[in-house]
Amino acid sequence: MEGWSSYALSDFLLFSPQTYFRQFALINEAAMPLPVLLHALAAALLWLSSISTPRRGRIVLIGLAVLCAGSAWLFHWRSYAAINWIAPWFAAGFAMQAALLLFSGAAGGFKSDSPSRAGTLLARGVAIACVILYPLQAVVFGRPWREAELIGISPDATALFTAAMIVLLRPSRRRLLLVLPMAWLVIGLLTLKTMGAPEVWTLGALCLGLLAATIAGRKDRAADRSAPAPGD
Amino acid sequence: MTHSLERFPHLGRRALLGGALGFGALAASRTRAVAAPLTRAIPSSGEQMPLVGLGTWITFNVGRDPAALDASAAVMRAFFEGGGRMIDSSPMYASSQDTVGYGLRKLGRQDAVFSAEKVWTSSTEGGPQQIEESRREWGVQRFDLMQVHNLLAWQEHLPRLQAMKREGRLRYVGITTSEGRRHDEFVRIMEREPLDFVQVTYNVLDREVERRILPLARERGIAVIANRPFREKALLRALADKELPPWSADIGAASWAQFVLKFIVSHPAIVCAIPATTRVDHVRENLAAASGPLPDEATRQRMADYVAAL
Repeated sequence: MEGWSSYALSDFLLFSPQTYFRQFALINEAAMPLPVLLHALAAALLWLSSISTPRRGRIVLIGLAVLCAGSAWLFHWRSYAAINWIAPWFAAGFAMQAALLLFSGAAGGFKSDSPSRAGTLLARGVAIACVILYPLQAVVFGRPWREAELIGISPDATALFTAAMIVLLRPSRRRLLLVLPMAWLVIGLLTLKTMGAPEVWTLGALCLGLLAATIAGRKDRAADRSAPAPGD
Repeated sequence: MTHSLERFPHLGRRALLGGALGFGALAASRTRAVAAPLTRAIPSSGEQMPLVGLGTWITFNVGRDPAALDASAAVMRAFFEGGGRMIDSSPMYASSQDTVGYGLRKLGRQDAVFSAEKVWTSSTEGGPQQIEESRREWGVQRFDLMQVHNLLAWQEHLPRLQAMKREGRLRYVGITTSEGRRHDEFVRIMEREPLDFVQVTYNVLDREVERRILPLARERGIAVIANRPFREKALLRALADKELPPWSADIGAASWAQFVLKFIVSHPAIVCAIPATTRVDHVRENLAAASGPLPDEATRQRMADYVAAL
């Protein structure tokens, strides 16, 4: 319809950066200690993934489902929807991601080939940055610490952490599990960029790290496949 | 001065009575306000409208944040105390309507506001429901002005709005556009439909509407609301470190915001400019632009040239 096609992306950015980041303070205040517990869960999942076993992998996927569900409910549905009428759709996307992770965790199945060292290092680096750096950026960029973006609440941090952990764990439905987090990261980057928020640089840099981790993993596996088998 | 302007009569009477008869503290607090804003008549009715109103795009979309809701109510209080009347919103602006409703209920000023709303849905049947939801959010008995937002499904909505006006459920009907969208179609609708208001983007840099829309509005007796007067702050940010011209004092502009607003509201077709703000000092500054001398045509050109050269 002609009416809709005349809109630009900025027309759908209905709020100021102050209002957007203020949502994190309101959630952190209202739902405490849940936001801290969810972030602690993310840290625990990162620790669990340091030793790769199928059982641990399944627990991590189920834990990631909890984090995505937390962001869907606490951020998108209960808070963001008040200032952005598209947010219920985002909530549905995060809920769907939680369901996919839950299903994948229950079904199990992980890649058995040797993981790429570069890919593993980069993915782990991105996940560590999500746990340690992401909550700090509120203060770094001059906002109150109450606006700290925690994994399990902040959609950017949650999507980034989830994607990094999927790259790290290499579950058998990896591509499917990456679709929604990656799609959100594009939306998150566009939102921050349109708002003119400096946080776009943090997210952008970590997205590049994630992309590099994905590419490095694929290249290493391709090299593994083309290398002559022992005894050839 | 080239324009026929009248003082806002409601506040003028209040001030006079308050001062002469020594009315109570409430009246005194309201008469503390600076000079009442200049007004201009809505062509279709003759009703006088203060030249500066209050927009809500982005600034009033604060969700359920109690502190921000109270801050918005404070802006509305300053707006009413300064003699402002028109507040403009839209279902597109997410929680902005709730914020306006919160402020009106808190201040008890449902009777003071000139409520300018929009219908914004491509669903033919969804229009009346959306208007009713908006009315409940504002907490008003009826809207003064209902506009078709950005011409979305205007063929379906306009006849319905005209019918609501005939039934007394609205006072005025209008259409809106912004940032130069679909001006050709906009002009065609202005030529054919009986409209009370149109809303367009107009400021010292965005002047395309001067060519066709503003002259046509005068010819057809349609009131014009100017949106995005500051290009959503970008214009004021760009001008912030520039010197106001020395002659700006001659038109009573003490800041760039007032300079830009005086340029807009001095066009004879403009009935109201609707800057949005989150700050009480800014709403007062904006309202003050609708007082004192307004530039004549030669000065308006000088203003446009000055800003364009910066």
